[in-house]
Amino acid sequence: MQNNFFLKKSFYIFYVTVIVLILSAVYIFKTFDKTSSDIEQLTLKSNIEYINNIASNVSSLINKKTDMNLVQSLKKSRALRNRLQEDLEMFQTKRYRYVYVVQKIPNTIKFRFLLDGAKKDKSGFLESFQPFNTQQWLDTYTTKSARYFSHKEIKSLWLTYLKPIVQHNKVVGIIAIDFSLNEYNYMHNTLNDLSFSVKIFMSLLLFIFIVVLIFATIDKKRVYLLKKQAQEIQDFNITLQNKVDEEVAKNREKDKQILEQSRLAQMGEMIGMIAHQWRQPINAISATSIAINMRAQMETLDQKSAIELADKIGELTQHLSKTIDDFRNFFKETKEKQDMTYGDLIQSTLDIVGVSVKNKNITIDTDIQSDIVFHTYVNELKQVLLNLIKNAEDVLEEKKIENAFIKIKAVENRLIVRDNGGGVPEDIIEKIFDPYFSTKTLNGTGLGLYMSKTIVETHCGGTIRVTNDTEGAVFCVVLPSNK
Amino acid sequence: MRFLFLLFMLFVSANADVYTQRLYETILGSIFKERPIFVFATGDAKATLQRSKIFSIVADCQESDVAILGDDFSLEQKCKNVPIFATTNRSYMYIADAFGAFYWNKGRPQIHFRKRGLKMFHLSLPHDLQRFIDAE
Ligand SMILES: Nc1ncnc2c1ncn2[C@@H]1O[C@H](COP(=O)(O)OP(=O)(O)O)[C@@H](O)[C@H]1O
Ligand SMILES: [Mg+2]
Repeated sequence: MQNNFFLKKSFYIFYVTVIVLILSAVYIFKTFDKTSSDIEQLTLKSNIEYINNIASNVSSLINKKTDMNLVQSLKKSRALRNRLQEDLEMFQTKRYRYVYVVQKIPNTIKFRFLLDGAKKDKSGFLESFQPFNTQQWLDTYTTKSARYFSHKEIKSLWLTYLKPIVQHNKVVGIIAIDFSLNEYNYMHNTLNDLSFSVKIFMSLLLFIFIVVLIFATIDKKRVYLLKKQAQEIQDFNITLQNKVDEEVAKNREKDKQILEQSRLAQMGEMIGMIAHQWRQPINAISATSIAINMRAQMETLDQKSAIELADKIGELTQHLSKTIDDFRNFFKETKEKQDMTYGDLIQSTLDIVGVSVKNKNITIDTDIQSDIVFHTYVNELKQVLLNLIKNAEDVLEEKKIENAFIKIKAVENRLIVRDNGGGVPEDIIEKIFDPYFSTKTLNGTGLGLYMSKTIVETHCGGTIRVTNDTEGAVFCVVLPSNK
Repeated sequence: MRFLFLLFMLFVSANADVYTQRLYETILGSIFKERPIFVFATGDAKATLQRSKIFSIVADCQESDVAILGDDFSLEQKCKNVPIFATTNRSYMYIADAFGAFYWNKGRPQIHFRKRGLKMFHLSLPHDLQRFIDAE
């Protein structure tokens, strides 16, 4: 929106500027034309004034020398004619090409020479003369006023100036001066050229300005589009990020559900384990109560042995209660990290699962060569180890392996659980950490290893991987030791 | 009107020579109807007429339709019974039988015709040119 407004505004400015430029160009052209025509007019005027002076001089010269009657005096005296013609010659230059005096032949509209200032090919006295623009010459007679004319239709090189000679209030002749307009024309042409150049230059300037503006506008549009694209990409990125976040959140939710499921599954397994743990103390309690019963019947139950037996039952009951507590603690969700070593981890896990494993004729070996204290989610890691042990137990039990064993070894930050169950088949080894992947037809959830991986890698920042050795599967958990 | 315009062009043109040629063609071409027009000429006029297509220069004045003479009016004797057209004011004045003249004075074309000469050779002028006939 902002950008759009800016674009519109720049277009507005562009149009206004162009109009102003055109107007000022027109103004400049007009001013230039006016000035140049003023110059031409002025030059012409000063030239005319100058010629007028010459003509006046010639006129007064003639008047002075001809006793008030020009034609009669000239007719009478050849010497006077020659003298006057010599005077006229003096005025004649390259610029004032011809200076001469003519007379209208009385009762006709034709003219003849009275005096000719030409230096060669002098026209004779009373020789006929056909001027051009005859009307102008006749008008000089009737109006008794000076005039000049050139040929408007075509740029004339010559301008003719006519001044009547008036004697006794009558026009007796015309002083004619043919005046070269070469200089004037030269100036005119120069001014024209200059004006043309100025016009071209201004047009070029205008053109360049317009082109630059157009390009600037296009560029602005381009920049605007680029910005828009960048914005779109950013928006897209944001939505993408949102989507990713959403997916991650969904995944977390799923993980949570899966963890819940696996916890429930483990609960089921736990019941079995508790049963194993309780069998021996319950048997002992039962045996003790039988012993009490028998001694009482045989009346050999003295106070001392009664107290002893009751204490034993109390001890055993205590043990049962402790077992329950252990299980409760084991499955309690602790949100906070705690300090532990691999030794602690293995010990507390075996407290729970040890008896049930041993009952199945499986040897458990522990080898602890690590005293690193990890600050991590202990309860969750217990479940991981429990899982690995249960999986080994499952495979050993299923395959009815003789001399079955599970070896748990801790070296520095590594925890290794191996068995002699024959290992994970190569064709499924890639998939065993996937959720719901299981080869077990009964009681298999396929969540154990998935959950373990999640706990180790996502929660605790470590790694878990599986390999096979000659005897069986080897699971290796690595925790970051510097945390 | 065309003729006036031509005169006008002559007056203003720097290239007067071409217009002199045109003027000869217009003036003499409208008086003599045969083509080509055989002319006897000398000097500048000869050079000008040589370029024209309607004129044919002849060496013997007696064979020509018209003789065009400048200041060398001694040639008049050779041109007995041939219409003479003058190219200077002097020759026009001197040769009383010349029927016409054309020359430049003060940058203006001067055209003259004389009734006497025209009559003598039974020449008639087109309307355009009649105003150039001199008064008696
Ligand atoms: N120690 C092991 N030896 C051989 N195969 C194993 C071992 N541990 C796990 N597996 C294989 O990995 C699969 C996935 O295990 P898990 O994720 O715990 O699911 P579940 O135990 O419910 O089948 C098991 O079904 C089994 O085929
Ligand atoms: Mg399992």
